[in-house]
Amino acid sequence: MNDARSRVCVSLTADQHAVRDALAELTEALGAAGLPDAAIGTAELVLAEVLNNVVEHALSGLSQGRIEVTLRIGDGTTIAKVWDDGHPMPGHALPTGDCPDTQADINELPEGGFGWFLIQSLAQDIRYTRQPDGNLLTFTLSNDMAQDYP
Amino acid sequence: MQLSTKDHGEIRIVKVGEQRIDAAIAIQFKEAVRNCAAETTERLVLDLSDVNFLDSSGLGALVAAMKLIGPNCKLELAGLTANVERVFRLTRMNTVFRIHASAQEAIGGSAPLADVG
Repeated sequence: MNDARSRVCVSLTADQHAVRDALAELTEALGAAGLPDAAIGTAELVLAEVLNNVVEHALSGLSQGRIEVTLRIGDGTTIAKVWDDGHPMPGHALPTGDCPDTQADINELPEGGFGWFLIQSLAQDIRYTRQPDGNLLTFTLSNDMAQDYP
Repeated sequence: MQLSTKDHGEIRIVKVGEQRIDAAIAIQFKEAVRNCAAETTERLVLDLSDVNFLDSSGLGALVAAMKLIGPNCKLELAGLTANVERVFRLTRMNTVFRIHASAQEAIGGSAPLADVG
């Protein structure tokens, strides 16, 4: 656990525009906590990829689905918890997060599959738990300024 | 979708006025970029200097647009902000697209751009 300097919790519905609004609220809280722009940019990208996946997969077909995001912003790290009441991950396990082949011929280039690769490249301690009432994903993000645009 | 177009010979510069290319607009963005290419356009350069956020959906939309525009017109990018540049670098898509520091550099000169229509 980190000694949280501040904590922010956002609830949203299964909608890409709600994701935009939630990200604006979350990044505002990170800015207010004094994180450098590079760390905020990293957090925004990881949270966007996680929330897009929840909307597109876990809550696919569940228009009443709910998502809750909690950030505990500490001195060196931010711990994120993302909960949703949707379908479980396939195999109740995290995807591998391999990078799709970007050296293929132009017509064979991948148009998707980068989300989990980016999450696993930029977040640490990623854990997934299937709970009786939904999915819980937790991960840690660095607040370190030295982590300038990895 | 905010896209504004200026031609410089066979090079068409498309200034993207959106600050975010994300899952909320990826499909519309792909179609809008595709529709920017004219028959005589040899290079379509997207000026992304106002875009401060691009997620994997936005990246996918750019790849899809490049395929749709076809072999006779090259889709190139210019003016990537730090957040956007990192997504290209991490996914190695910076080796797929030709990326210019700025739209001005893409046209290789300092002559003023001519308005289209």
